[in-house]
Amino acid sequence: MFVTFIIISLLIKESLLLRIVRVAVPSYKVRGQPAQLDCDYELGGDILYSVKWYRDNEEFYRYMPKYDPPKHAYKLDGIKVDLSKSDDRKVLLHPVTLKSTGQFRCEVSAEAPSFASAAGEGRMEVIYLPREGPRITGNQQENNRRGDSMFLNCTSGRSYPAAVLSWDIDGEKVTDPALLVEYPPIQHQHGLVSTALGLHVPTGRTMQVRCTARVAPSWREGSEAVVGNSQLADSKEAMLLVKSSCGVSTLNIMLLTLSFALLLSSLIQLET
Amino acid sequence: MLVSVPMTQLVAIAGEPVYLPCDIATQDEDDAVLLVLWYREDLGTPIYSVDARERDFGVAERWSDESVFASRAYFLPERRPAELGVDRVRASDQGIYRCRVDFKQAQTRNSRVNLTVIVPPNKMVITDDKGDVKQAIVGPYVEGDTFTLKCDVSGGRPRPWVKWYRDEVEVDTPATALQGNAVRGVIHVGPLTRADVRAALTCRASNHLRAHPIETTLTLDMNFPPLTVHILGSNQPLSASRRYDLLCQSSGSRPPASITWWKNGHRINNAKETLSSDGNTTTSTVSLQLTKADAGAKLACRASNPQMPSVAALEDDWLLDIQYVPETTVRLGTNLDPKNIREGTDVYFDCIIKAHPYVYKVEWRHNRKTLVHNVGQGIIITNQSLVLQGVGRKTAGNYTCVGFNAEGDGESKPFSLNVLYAPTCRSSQQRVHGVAKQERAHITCHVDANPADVSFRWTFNNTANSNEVSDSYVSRSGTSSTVTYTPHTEMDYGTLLCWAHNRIGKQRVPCVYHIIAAGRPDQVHNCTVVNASLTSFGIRCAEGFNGGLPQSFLLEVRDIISQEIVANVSSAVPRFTAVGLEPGKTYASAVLAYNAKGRGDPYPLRASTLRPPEKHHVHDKSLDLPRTAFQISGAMSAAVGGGGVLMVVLVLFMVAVRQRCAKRKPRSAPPPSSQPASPDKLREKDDSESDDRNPDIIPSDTDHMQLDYFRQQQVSTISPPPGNRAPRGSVAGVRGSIPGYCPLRTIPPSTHPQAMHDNSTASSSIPPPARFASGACTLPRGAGACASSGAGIPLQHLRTLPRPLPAPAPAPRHTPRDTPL
Repeated sequence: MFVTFIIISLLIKESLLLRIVRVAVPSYKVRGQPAQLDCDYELGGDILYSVKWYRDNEEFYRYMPKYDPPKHAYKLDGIKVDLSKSDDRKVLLHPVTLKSTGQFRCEVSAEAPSFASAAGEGRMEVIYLPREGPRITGNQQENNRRGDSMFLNCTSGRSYPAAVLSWDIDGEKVTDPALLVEYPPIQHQHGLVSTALGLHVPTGRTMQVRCTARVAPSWREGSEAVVGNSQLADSKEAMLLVKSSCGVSTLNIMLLTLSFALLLSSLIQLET
Repeated sequence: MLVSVPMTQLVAIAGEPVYLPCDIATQDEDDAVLLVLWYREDLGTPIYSVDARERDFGVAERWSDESVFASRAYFLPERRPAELGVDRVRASDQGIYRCRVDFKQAQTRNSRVNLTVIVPPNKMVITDDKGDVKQAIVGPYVEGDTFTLKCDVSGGRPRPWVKWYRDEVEVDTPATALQGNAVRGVIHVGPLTRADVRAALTCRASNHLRAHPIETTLTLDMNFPPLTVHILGSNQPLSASRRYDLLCQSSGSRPPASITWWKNGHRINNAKETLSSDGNTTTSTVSLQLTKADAGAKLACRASNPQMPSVAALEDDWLLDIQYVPETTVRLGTNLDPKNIREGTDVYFDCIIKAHPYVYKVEWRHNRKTLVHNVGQGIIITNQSLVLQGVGRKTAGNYTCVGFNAEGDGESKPFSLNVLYAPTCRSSQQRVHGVAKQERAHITCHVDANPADVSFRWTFNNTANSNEVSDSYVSRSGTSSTVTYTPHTEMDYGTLLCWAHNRIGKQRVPCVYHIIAAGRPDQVHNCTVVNASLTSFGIRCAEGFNGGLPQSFLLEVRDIISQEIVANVSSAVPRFTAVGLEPGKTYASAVLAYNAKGRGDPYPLRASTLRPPEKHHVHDKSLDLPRTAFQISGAMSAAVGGGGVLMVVLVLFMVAVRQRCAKRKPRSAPPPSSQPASPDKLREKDDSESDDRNPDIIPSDTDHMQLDYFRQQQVSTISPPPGNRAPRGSVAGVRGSIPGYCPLRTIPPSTHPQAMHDNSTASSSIPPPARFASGACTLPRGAGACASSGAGIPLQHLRTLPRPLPAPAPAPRHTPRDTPL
């Protein structure tokens, strides 16, 4: 169930001192699922004073054994702590929302007099996969009037992060920027985003035009170990057959749309 | 790490305090700060903590890591935001600090501070082109130099900037980074001018606006050659007779100029230098006494910079114009032989003058007396010449000429003009010698001659003939010649003639000496009373012929009544003063001359003392007399008796004298050539035959009282005293009758009415003196005598001459010249 990215930060001065063994924060979570954050540490010779969890420097959970109750959660936007499943070494967020995304840090502090402190952190992003495929649209009249070429738009479904669109003509990816028209992303409710991409289609022959929309966090910088599973990556296509006569001004456009394929990426596990 | 924790940037200067902010403010009143922890990001444990969990925050336990801030840190919770103060920040304090604040309720607050510690540069080294390290002064350079200074700065963090300033104005200078954290700033200076001296070149380096820059200032030192040199007051004439302090000033040299003085290329060493307060002007003073020889000399003042020997010295010149007192020389006319200038020659002199400025006047002096142009006297002065026409022996002497200019009077050395002349008879010598027979007389002939190398010839003339005197009787001493002469017979009396000659010529007129038989002196004459006072009077006479022998003179003063001598004064000259007399009384006086042969005739005259004024007016004779008589009545009889005795003695004495006088008279007639008086004063031993040299000229008091008594008695009983006018009248009267002394006593009033005139009232009562033959007594040998005749006397004279030649012929002929007196 959990894809875990493990980042270990060590603040080691002496082996006997307090140190963080491991802080485990899942890199991506699909909205609505629970996320468990782990903080493994060694106290050395010290007594625990506090374990504090921060998201983006804002404390949302602390464990202080001397206090009653020792567990205390603060209400943050997008953070909902399940206290019953949280303790001095882990905290459970349930469910995660798109607002849960952030830098999560665990700080462990020893009691007086040293107040030695160690911390580890990791980033978690929450994603939302599109429920519908991209749609290809065109303006019949305008296309007729222009005659020599045809203009098509492809618009993705709502997702987080935004889908990336690309055009294929007869199976060949269009890279000529003269043919492509980009638009700013369109913001929707709950932080969802849709994107669009325009294409000038040369006329005079019959061709197959395809628009592909991909949603995946794998391009995020620094995540060299991008792992896709069916829940975290999504790719959808829309296809169109363009028929063109040798006559001067009339075009028959047949919307074929026929293929709707959900490509599931295979799960790749990164073993550390 | 912790990228999301907010971070504050702080910059601190090493050594200064810094305050690290940390917000501990609570949102809720119920909330409280439990714990404040300061971490340094590279360390796991806090470096500072405030633990307020179990106590009030004000007394919370504070702890500071000894290895980090230790006691330098202190928490300041009262500030907003609260701060952790750290004193004396070190370079090692730089880093990121995190402050964690645990609240009782609120979320934990984390904040960060990025502390940058600025370490100012601490080392600055300035080097010049040679690589020498410069610290306060750069140079010295000279005008036109260019140079470069490098300022290397190191030790700072971050790398400092380096700038050069000139007199606090920034100079655009390139700076380059060096190895390490060092920076080099380079300044190019020059080409230098004089204005650049003492420029302040400052290299300043810093690495933060708040950090104190380090800097080094170098002062530009330069050497300059002197710009000016001037001899002050130059080119004015100088006086040779004065000492001058001459000043020479030079300015513009740095270091100050050294000034030297030169005269015609020779260094003058006694100069003294002074420096103006700004050090720019050197003044040299030299004290010079210049001489005439310095005229036209070049006086130079040279100024040079001792530090710049290669630069030629600056020089100011002065061609000396020396003024001096005229230098004069008297030069005799070139065609004249100074050793052979004879009387009557014309002589001229030139005055050779060297003078600057030239003389405005030339003066000639003869024996220190200024000569005046006088053609009549033959003194002609033109320009610088003096002409003396017809020089005589009086013209001889020292001649000088004097030139006058502004510097003074320059008198030449004297030129001694020697005028040669043939011998002439010297005046003022004894012309008549009275010599007794067999007496050996020395007759000396004195001549004036130039040259004085003279020889003499003597001749003896009498009425009969003229003979050369043998040289064996003659001796010579310079311009004098003495003949030893002893008359043996009457014929040996006559005239000796002395002739001298020198190389100039023979004496034209001989010196004439009359050898006569020696006798009594003649009577004095022209006697007058002078300086009469209450108790004294003086008498002066002209002396008569001395009889051929030295004579002396005698004054006798007698009481008219008693004929008693009250004063007796002798003298070498006929001038006397009789003292100790009674006031207001007239005395009978007589002056006579005497010599070894006897006494001359007395010259009688009356003289009176002055009368006291009060007696003259107040005292009546009748009132006075009894009183006087009573006062002295006790002594009266004795005094009268004494007075009588004195009178008898005096009368006897006078008789004896008169007899002697009468006997000798015929023989004592003067020679005809001997003029009225011959004042020769050859002193010879007094024969003392004429004694009467009573040393008691001033009578004793008792005598005086006696005389006074007599006078008073006489006046009171016989006649009233003569008036104040009387003594003068008496003197006049006596003068009128020259042989008055004799008549006073011997001749009745009828024969000499004038002499008796004043004494007319008293004369009747005067007892007549002893009888003298009036003719014998009054026969004078001087001029104007009562019986004088030129005819008779030569006969007497001739009678004494050894030879019967007509002697009068030569004698009268020569006497006018030889006896100018």
